[in-house]
Amino acid sequence: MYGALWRAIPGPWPVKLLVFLLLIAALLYALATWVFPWADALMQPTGVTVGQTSGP
Amino acid sequence: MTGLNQTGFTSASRAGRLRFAAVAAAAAADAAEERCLLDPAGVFVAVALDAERFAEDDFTVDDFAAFAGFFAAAAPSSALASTSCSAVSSASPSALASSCSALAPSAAASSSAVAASTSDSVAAASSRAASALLLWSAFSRDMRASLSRLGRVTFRRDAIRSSGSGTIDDLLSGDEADPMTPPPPPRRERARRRRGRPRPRVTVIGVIGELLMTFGVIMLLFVGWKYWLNDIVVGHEQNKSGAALAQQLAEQTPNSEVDEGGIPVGVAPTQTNEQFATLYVPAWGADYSRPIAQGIEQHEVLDHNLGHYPSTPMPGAVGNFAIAGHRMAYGASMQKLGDLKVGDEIVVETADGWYTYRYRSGEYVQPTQVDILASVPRHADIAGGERLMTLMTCNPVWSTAERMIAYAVFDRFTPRADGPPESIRAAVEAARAANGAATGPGAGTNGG
Repeated sequence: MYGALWRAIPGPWPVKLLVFLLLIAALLYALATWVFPWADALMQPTGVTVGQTSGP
Repeated sequence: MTGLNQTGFTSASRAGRLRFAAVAAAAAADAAEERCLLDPAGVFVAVALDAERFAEDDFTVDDFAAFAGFFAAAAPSSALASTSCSAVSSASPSALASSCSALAPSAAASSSAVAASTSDSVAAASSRAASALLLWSAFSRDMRASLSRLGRVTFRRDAIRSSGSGTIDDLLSGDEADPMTPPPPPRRERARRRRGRPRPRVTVIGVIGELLMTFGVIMLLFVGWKYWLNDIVVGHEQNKSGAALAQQLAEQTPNSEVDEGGIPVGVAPTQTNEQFATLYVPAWGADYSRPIAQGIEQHEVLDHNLGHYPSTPMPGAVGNFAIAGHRMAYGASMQKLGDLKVGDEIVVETADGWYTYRYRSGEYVQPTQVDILASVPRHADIAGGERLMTLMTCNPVWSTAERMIAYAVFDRFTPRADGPPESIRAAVEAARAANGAATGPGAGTNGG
């Protein structure tokens, strides 16, 4: 998969490396911007507050 | 002779035995060069059948000499082959017989046309020896090429391998074989061809494996994002939010009443999640300035602010001003709650000014012990007269099993006209400078 991606990138290997790193950076940005907040909303910690009614 | 009967050689003539021995000699010559693994039973059957069939032909010693010489030419590096070469050059049956002791009795018998029982037994012994050699060395490509060039027999390796026991026609296709048939390709090529197509670069298993590894890496990235990277980002945002809130508070007209102690106490917000104060804790960093909002709803309030327990009084009031915040993630506004030392300043800024508390003590409680919010913590039945502040967060880190509590006592009130207290002045002014002239120079003079 990654090998095929590497071969699909044109140019000599420094260009390939640059494009590859840019793709990884774009993936990380997308993860941190959209995917991780979405996943975070799906798994909230429980028991952070004990409820308003029990408070004095 | 029973051994011969078992191997099917009973009807074989001396010439057949000679031929068989010649095959064995060639096999021995090739064994030094190359070995390949064939079905031993298949090879043996093939050779035995060939010998039997060949016995019906007119076979002379000259033929044998040519036969042996051909194999000698096919395998010149072999010592046995060189022996055969000398036999060919002498072109004499007797010399040939003397040069190869194993073949000598059969060769002599052929020339004298007398089949003695002793030579039979020797032939049988040599047949067994040849069989053993063949089982060990099998057929090299040179030998099979030589046989096919002779026009007598063609060993088809595939037929032998696929047929198992094999029939004569499967094993021998000699008479139809083209004498000019090129020899089979070298073994490496054959092996490659046998494995089928070359392995594709992208395989299903490979892609699945890479996807799984990618998923694992993303899981680790998620943890790093949630508890480290996002904490830094969100924490910085909350610091900026708190500083911006402080500037808004500075421009607001205070809605407060001065209590009997001379301390102005604001009116509690009526709306949940309404920001009304900024918390500064110099011990947690010079830029620490987090907004405090009304309510302790986890996502609505606490994920973006410190939360004020609505049941507790406002800052500066007699009683227990209690706030809560996340220990991990969402900016981790109370990550360093356990680092407080006795006497550390905790400053709360409202529209009125700055309320400075000093940390006094801390404890760990169960989440259900809500009486720490009482005016006298843990003693809800006592009406205290102190101005207290309680900071609460989850404990231990990564867990919500317990609560870490920090108690602070009121130290002093600084009116807005006096400017921020000394401990946070640098931080407040830096934040104002960073936010620019959006609020203008009037921000500092609007107090009252």
